[in-house]
Amino acid sequence: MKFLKHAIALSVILFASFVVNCGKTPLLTDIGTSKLIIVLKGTYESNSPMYWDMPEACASRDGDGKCTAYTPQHETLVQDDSVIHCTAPLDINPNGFMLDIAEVKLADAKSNLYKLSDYRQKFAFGLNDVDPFFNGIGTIINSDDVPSNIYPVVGIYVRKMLTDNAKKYVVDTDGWNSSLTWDIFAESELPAFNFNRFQYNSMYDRLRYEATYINRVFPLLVRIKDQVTQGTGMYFNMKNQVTVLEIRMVVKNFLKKYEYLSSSDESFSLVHYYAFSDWLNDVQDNERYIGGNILTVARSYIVGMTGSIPGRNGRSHDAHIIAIPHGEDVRDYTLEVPGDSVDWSVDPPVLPPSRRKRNPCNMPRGVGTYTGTSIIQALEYYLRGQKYKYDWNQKIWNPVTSGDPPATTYRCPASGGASYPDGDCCESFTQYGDEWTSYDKDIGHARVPQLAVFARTADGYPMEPDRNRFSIQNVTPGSYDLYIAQRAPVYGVLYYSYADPAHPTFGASDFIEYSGNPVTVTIGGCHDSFGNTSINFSP
Amino acid sequence: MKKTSVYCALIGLCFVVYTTDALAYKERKDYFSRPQIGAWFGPITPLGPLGEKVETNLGYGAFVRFTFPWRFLKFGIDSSYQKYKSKGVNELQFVPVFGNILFQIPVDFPVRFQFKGGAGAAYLNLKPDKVDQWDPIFMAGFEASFPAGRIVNIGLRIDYIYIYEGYIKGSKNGGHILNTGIQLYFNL
Repeated sequence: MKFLKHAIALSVILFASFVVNCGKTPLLTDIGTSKLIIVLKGTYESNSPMYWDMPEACASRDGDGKCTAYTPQHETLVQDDSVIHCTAPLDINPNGFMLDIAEVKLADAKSNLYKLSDYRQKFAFGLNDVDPFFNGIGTIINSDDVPSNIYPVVGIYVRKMLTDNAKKYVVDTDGWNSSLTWDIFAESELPAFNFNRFQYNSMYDRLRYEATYINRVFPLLVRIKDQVTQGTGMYFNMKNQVTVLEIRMVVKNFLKKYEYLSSSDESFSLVHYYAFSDWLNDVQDNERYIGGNILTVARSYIVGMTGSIPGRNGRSHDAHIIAIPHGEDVRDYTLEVPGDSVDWSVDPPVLPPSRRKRNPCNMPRGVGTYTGTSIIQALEYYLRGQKYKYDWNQKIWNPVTSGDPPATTYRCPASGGASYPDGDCCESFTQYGDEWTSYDKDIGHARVPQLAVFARTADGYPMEPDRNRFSIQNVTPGSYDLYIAQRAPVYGVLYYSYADPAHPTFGASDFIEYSGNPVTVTIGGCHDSFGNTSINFSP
Repeated sequence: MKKTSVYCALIGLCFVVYTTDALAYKERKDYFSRPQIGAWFGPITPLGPLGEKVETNLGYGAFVRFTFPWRFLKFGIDSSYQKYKSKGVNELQFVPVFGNILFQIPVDFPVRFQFKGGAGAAYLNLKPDKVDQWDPIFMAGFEASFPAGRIVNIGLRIDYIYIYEGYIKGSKNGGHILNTGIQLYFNL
């Protein structure tokens, strides 16, 4: 009985002690609510994005309404230069982008993974300025909470990415015949094409083991270089009201058309489809893989603990305005090219050669092994093998013996027969390694700014003096440097910096610095180094 | 003579059988009044708002019981381990520890029916938030037990548990949980 009395007393004390509120959290209420919201956007800009500016495909039509020619803008900016087999003007612009996500995880500094969302989610976005994915508001990914911590990386496990209006082409007696391709999205068959299966980044450095399997979409890793943690990651604290994790993937005004050769049946066929621009990792002729071109950026902010950066675009063209952490090099947000002067006033502009094309050790791809039984495919295979050998010989130094007495010199066919060591040939394995390391470094540093807006010009619009206003929203307090692009945005292309000391534009970039930098952002407002609360870019 | 012996043997056998049964019945009642220890296993079901967030699972627990001087009233201490998963990443671990009073319906019947009610506290651990705390709980339940000999009892139980969080600022709802299970317990 003594034990019984003790047990009853203990129960009463235990119960009473928990009735007292000791700064606890309403755990059963919190279980269904999320204090970390993921917002996914398909724009380069963090808010106020540019309008869709995809060039029209068709320039002229015949009496039956059939397109007879593409516009020069479509041929240059939308159709990739790797589209070589079928140039019949039968393609039409896409209308939708579809995304199928398996889950989202956050990684901490010790590489521990925390499931943030393991709901499979499927999104279909219209390629227009009204869809939240493209109008700056963003789409919310259903998610739960994670423990309070610093998270440097978020990983999105992408199952599928599709665009519509992809077409399959076959040749018959009337020339190219096209039909829509069908693919499966959300367990339904749709007239779309899943280009996610080609998003392998194996286009470079084929001698590396990883080249055969590098896949950057499962997961698609996005660094979170928040200023609050000095670029270390996102600081998430459960005690804050709501933290927003904004993940942006540049889709808007960044789709290009690619060609994919299909040899799966007896007839020669190919597919034209739309996927991310190869502005970064150039896709070349006869290549199936298009990976390494998903431009992403992530940032986080606490709702109610942000400021904004308002101002005006005083320049005579529409422009992107970016805000980067004070002291960072703006060239980190560009792709380095030699100082070729690009005439941006020409429509469409002639773009500088890609970083990959400028790599002398960018050797042609081998043809693998053919194990099928189709005579058509076998012939195709051997022809491609011969082409591969020819292309390879163009990229290496060939000995040429001439003269009396005979002397051997080395010549590079790719540079028009220039003598060793000049030209575009790959000299050795050492050079091969060096060139691709350098390539990786140049490509790898290009980033999308965490904060960017699109601002129109008021020049030529005297009746709309406020047309050039902009406001960068939801900015975490801190010190920022602002830049404005010195040219209007161009479809499918982001910004360059000029790296070759031999050129007069060396060291410059497409961005011009704001004279009042740094801009200090506080909760609810901002001011530049002169005390101005509105950031006005001069003409 | 032989016939008489057979009759006597049969009467004697009947006497032994019936007397033994009568004695055993009385003793079984006594055994049931002894301190008891046992364990249970069965489905655990979140109800109400909590049921929309996490899903039914299997749980298990253990308990001890002591009989009051009035043998139809017992005092018990129960604890169990309950883990609720969800379709998402949420996961709730729930470890209630409570005292309860059990009232046995005072009817002589081989099956024992007991009602119970009690209170205590529960340890709750929410993942992936990594938040854990103790909350007060209240419970009510019903049991049907089948004594199987002097030591072993087999029973079915239904417990309703209410997790009280109304005293915490910002709380919108408590938690409702239904535990059902089969139990095996022993008379010590």
